[in-house]
Amino acid sequence: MSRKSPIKRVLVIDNESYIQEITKICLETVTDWQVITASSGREGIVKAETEQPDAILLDVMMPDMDGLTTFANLHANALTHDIPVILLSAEIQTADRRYYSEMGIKAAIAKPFEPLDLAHQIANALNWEV
Amino acid sequence: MQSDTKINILLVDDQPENLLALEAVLGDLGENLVRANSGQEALRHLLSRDFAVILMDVQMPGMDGFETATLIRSRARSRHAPIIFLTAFSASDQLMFKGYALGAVDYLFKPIESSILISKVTVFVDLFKKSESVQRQAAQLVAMNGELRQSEERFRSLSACSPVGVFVIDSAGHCTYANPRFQAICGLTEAQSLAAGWFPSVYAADQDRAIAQWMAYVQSSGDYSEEVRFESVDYTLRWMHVRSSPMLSAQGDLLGYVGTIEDITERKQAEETHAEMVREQIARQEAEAMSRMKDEFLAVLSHELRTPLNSMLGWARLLQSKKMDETSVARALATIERNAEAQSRLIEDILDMSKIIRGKLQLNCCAVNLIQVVEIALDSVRLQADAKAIQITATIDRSIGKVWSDPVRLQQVILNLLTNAIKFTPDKGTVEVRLEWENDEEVVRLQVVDTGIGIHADFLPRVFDRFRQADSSTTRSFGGLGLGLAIVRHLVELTGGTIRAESPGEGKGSTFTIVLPLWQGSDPLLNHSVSEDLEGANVS
Repeated sequence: MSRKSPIKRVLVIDNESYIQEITKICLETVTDWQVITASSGREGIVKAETEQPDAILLDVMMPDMDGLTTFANLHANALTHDIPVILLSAEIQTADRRYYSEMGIKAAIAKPFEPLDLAHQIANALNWEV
Repeated sequence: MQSDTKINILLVDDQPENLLALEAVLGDLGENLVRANSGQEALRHLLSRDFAVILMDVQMPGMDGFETATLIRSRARSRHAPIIFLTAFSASDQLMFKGYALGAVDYLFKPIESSILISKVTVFVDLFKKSESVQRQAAQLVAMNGELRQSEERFRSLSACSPVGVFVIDSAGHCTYANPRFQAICGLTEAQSLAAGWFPSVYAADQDRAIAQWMAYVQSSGDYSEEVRFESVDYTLRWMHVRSSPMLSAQGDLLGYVGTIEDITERKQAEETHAEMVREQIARQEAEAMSRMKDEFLAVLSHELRTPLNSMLGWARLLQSKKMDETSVARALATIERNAEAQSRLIEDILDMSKIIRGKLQLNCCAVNLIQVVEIALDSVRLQADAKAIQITATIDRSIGKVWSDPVRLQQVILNLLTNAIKFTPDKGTVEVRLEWENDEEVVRLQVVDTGIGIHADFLPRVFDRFRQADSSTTRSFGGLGLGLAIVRHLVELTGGTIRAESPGEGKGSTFTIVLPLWQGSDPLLNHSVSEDLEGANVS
């Protein structure tokens, strides 16, 4: 679900600072989107509530609260329920894609992602224009 | 009947004073004196009880003594009751014969001499008692015979219909009884069973053992209970449960052994099937656990390898596609380098583990100056520690000499323990290194003590297992594959040392202790080459 605002805002939730950094640079290089980062599931939920991004890019394998638990929390929260979520995962199998889709996850992107293509993958999944 | 039960004596006279006189004389006998004033009354008494003797007056109004005697004799119950006639006058011989013909056993003439009366009555009382006793014994004998017959019948049917084989072996070892089921189990006739017992039916391969067990039982005082394989005539094997107990007389003497043989083949098969099912289930669970562990490991491996790859790839593409200022380029290259190094370490660990698993890990050992190796390791982790404001202290006993080890691998071990300590210690903590003598001057001890997250007591025993970190969230929090300590332990053990981990609990820090034997030899060439290697290093 996209906001009316012309500039898209994307929240990246990943505990690896290198991944946060490369994701941010890749998206900001290709698009005019604004990238917000969070280093854990908990921080991500708070930022999703306050920042109301247009989309969330969520890492599956994280300490403390993993990606799927974080998603469940976002999905159950009225403030964040409608923000589309895209997973980032090292290993995605066909069975996983179906499972994610049933849960209400918009898409799953495999690591390592193609840096300059990441924005297009997100835009395609969410029917955005780049 | 007890001897203290009183015997009945019947006194028959129409004159109450005569009865009284008789009672006075016979009272001392202590028996039961029953009075009758007439023949009719006497007959009434006789209807309900037996009398040891009847003392009867001949002259009575109405029914006289003879008539009464005739009637007494006519009843089966009283036919043999002895009658002593009492008469006041000296009877004629004819009268006496009549009395005897009616079954009188004696005559007494009034006035009666009391001592004669007592002695005569006593004779009949004794006789009655004796005959009663004989009757009682006869009745007992009949009852006993009946019981014996019943018991024999019971035993015969028990034994014949018993679902288990029953046998008796005498103290000399001969089979003296074998029931039909025993014969059926052993495939023998009764005569064969008695001749051979059950041993010949035991499966040939088990016979020696069965006989040895039986001999041990015979020499002990306990019971016998063994599961034995029997081979039937058609060569099929069946499991039998043979049990036996010693048979003792009331005096405790050994009479022989009584035993049972029960066919437990079906139970055995059921047990075997069950055991097989349990084994299969365990194998399946183990396979599932193994498969789960493998999947988890692959997911972790995939994540650990791809995360640095993502950064490297990302920056490489950006460098190619976009004009960047000098600072950004330097930053990009530094990031790529750090990630490449991290990935290289992961791959080294995986290769080491793979060599360990295949038994292909080889060490190039020589005499190594332990103090130098420790100091180089300390130096190389100092930046890492500074980044987390962790204070590293070292207590080193300078008298410690050389150990026999692979210097590169020893360095790897010590570095691994130090980086682990730094990795698992929160900012501003401390890591302490101690190098000292263990307890004699042949063994040295290297300890790395941290104030880190500690190790839960449940996890301590598995801390050196491969692919293990305390839980998968630890793996995620701290990165890595959980191979480091497994490799460390292997390397330490390969050089004849030992390693142990201690922790007072979670959040209370950990201590890793390596114990290494000191090098006892003297090879100046080897020493020299190792020293040279280390001299170039920057030792702080």
